[in-house]
Amino acid sequence: MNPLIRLNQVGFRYRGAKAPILRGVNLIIRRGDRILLRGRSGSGKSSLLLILAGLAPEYVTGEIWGERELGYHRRAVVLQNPEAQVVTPTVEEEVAFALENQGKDPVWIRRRVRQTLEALGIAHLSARHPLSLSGGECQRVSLAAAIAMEPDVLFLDEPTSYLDEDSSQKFFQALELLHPETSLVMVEHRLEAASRVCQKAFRVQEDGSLLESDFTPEQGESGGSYGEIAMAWGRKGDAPAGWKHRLKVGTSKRSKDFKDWTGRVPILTIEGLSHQWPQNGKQPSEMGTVLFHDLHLTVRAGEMVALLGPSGAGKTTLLGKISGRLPIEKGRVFIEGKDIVTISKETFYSLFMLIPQNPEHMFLSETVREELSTVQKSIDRADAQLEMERIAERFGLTHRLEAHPFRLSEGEKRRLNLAVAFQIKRPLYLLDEPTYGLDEHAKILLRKDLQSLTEEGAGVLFVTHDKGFAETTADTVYTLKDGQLIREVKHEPICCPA
Amino acid sequence: MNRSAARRNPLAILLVTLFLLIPVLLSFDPITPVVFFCLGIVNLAIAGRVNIQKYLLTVGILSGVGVGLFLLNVLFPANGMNGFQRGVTVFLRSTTLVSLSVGYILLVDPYDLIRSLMQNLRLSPRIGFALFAGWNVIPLLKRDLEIIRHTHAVRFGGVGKPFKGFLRGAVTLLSGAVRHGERVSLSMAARGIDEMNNRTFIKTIQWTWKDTIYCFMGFGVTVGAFLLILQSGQFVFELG
Repeated sequence: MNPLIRLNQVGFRYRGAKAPILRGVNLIIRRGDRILLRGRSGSGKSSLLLILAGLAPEYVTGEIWGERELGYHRRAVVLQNPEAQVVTPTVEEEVAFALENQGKDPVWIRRRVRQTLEALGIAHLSARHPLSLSGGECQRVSLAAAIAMEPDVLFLDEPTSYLDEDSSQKFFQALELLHPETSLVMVEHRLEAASRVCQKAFRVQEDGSLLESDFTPEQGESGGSYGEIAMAWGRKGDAPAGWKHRLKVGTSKRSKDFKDWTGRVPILTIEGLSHQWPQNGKQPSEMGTVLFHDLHLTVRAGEMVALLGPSGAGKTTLLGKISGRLPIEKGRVFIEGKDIVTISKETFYSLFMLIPQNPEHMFLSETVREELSTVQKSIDRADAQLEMERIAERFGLTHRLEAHPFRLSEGEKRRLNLAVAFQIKRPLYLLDEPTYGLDEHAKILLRKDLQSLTEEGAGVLFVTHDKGFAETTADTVYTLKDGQLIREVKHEPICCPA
Repeated sequence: MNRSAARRNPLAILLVTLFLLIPVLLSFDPITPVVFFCLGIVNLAIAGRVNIQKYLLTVGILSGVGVGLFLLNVLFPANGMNGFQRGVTVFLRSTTLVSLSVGYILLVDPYDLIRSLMQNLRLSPRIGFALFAGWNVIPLLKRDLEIIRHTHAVRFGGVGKPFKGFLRGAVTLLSGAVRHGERVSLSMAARGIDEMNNRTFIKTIQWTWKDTIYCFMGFGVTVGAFLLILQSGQFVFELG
């Protein structure tokens, strides 16, 4: 059987980059093969996927060498960010888009679109604007568009990295609808889920080469299961600081490292905070649905608090109220004992640092160097340069100092946010979905960076859908559900993998 | 979602609206705008269904410019001019231009206009769907700008000049929009936008014989009304 794709000694270098991101890649993909591409963030997995899909260097500027044979007729691609794939104003047209480009009969297309949407259980969304859907629904629309094409090869580039657990599960379930002869090439960090779909795994190495691998998680890259990371670190015996007392293994014996927060100074205090959405077309005083009611929460100096909750529970709204983006109608919020509605804007903004869900929203400059330097204007120039380089090294950004912040990988963008935040000393750090778009390796680095903030005495509050990250990172975990905050019971362990 | 209420092809409505706009742009008398304002209302009734409340509200708000110009002419009349008369003329002219434009905007779904351009005027789908994506991004930009400005305000401790803050936000927003555009472009390429031969559309916007008659009637009525105003001696030509 002739291969659908054959790469022989293929290498690739992005325009302007000194070193190639891929080199000496050999790969053969046959009809029906289901392949996982794995590797660390920034290793070149997505670049390889784009090369296999015939999109690089065709649409992504760079230089390719070696032999590449693409023998498929139809390919479909689902990218990472659901929002950035939307072109048309209705779900029906979105799914039909590629079929229209193929010049298929419109009557046939409508039938095919209806069948696909029904099979994926999203036929009721057909008239909706894709951008009005949740991230999970929007990504299933992208998958529907891909499946409707009946492609020879389906390429998936980290399709669940912006989705919560529930949406990810639904996405993987939907992959079962693929025709057995359809080949699949997937970049995915949820190794356990991927192993149920793929037969083979290949790892993109640090040097840009490709090696056949398996689905076993290793340090810095796992299937998303905390237990898997623990096992991997346990084997290697090099778990990071703070790991032992944060591991949840289900035992009830208390660690000697267990922290008692009661004696610490409260940095953030929320008392009786409520939120109701205004009714459509009415004044804010005529309120509608209650989102949350009478919330009480305290974050103390050196404490890291995670806030979990399903989509739409009000996590980001709560953060919006604490950070002053949304008004406080009922209840009070204190930062360092100051009621935030009674203090001046300058005082208020000097009390906390906010890292938004989209790391790009924080950027200002053309290069990482400038981005880090904007914080250093108040000190001597030479000292500022040294301090900037020190921070860059600490956050692993030294090799990216001349890169445009928007061109960094998702993990690097988040690290740049934290590097900036780290330089601006504030008592409280608020983070909105800090793990969106991050692989497990990047999450481990993020965990360490957040811990370094609390070690310096700051309070950290982050909202997330990532239960595993919250439980392994935060000292205290709350769930916001049905308008109420529920404190999760953490089992403080003695058993550690090391 | 903005659903089209147009009964005619968006391009036909555009053409007739342009017919109605041209005499108003060339005139500087109070009669021509009034006549074409009325014809514009008739056109709206023929071409589709507009939310009257939204129409009146939008025209009312935008007519504030006309009121300003009226007051300017009344309070500071040019030498040898009747400020009140000139003010009324300017007000009527600007309000008519606003009402015709607003009527078109409220009547026609922008997606339908782009579909019509692709299907009836052979606009390249590459450009057409880029316009779709651009239109999609507008509400996202509004949302993102709010978040960016707030994030920057926090980052800089709420200090700094408002204009500088606005510039900072705009730069971040534009960089993000460019990146978003690149990603959408890649997504379109992945779905074969550049590989098509005879692209089909499941949602078609056809040009029918009714649209042709509608355009001819629009042209005829415009020319007829214009000639009548000319013959009555009421028309005053002034550009600008």
